[in-house]
Amino acid sequence: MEIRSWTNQSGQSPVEKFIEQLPEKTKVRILTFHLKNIEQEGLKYCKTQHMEKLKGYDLYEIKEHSSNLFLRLLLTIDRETAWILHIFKKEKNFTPKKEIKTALSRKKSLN
Amino acid sequence: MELNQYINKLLEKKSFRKEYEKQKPILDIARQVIHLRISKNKTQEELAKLVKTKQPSIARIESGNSSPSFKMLEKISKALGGKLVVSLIDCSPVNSPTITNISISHLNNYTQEQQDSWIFIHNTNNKSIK
Repeated sequence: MEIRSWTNQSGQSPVEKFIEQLPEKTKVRILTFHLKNIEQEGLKYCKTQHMEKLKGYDLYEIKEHSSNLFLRLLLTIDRETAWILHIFKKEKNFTPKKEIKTALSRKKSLN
Repeated sequence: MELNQYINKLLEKKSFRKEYEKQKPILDIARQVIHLRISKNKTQEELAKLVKTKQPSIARIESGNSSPSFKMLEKISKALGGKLVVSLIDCSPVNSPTITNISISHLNNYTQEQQDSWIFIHNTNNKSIK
């Protein structure tokens, strides 16, 4: 499966921009572990504790905890491509609607 | 940007490359346990039962945050029909590439030629490797 980050109309990726300011350890874990695992396993990665489908939405959530940071990545799968739509710091026990809305509006723009 | 392009770009930066090389062995092991377990259609609970441990221990190994013992890796690879392979390769500049690798593999993932070109340390007498 191919992994791509969502880009806006000017070709910039808010996800990559967010990842760039993270500690190196977290960057390595997100890029070379979670996203590489999705590249290899596809949706089967949901059979681990790292990824799950967001109930009621066509979105998947990757959970990352390292360097005292709780992070969530929201993605969608379009045929053989996983689009990383959004990344944010988790501060509550649930995924805030605001973050889901951001991911959904970016997902819409893919079409 | 496509993932591999992005990783390659970041690997040009010394601090990222250093952290990547530090974490790679443990993340590789976690990835291999995940891959073998999923390909054998087993849940973490089922694998835990097979190796006589609890599900959180398997989750910890798959998190890439903890170093499993050789004994545990050996049990996991055996339970999943795989094989624990440890290869030690000379790191001196004349004998590059520089690789020290530990992996859990399906035997049929490798050709005989590949197997012959590596140094294998196997536990063949069912004693744990310390």
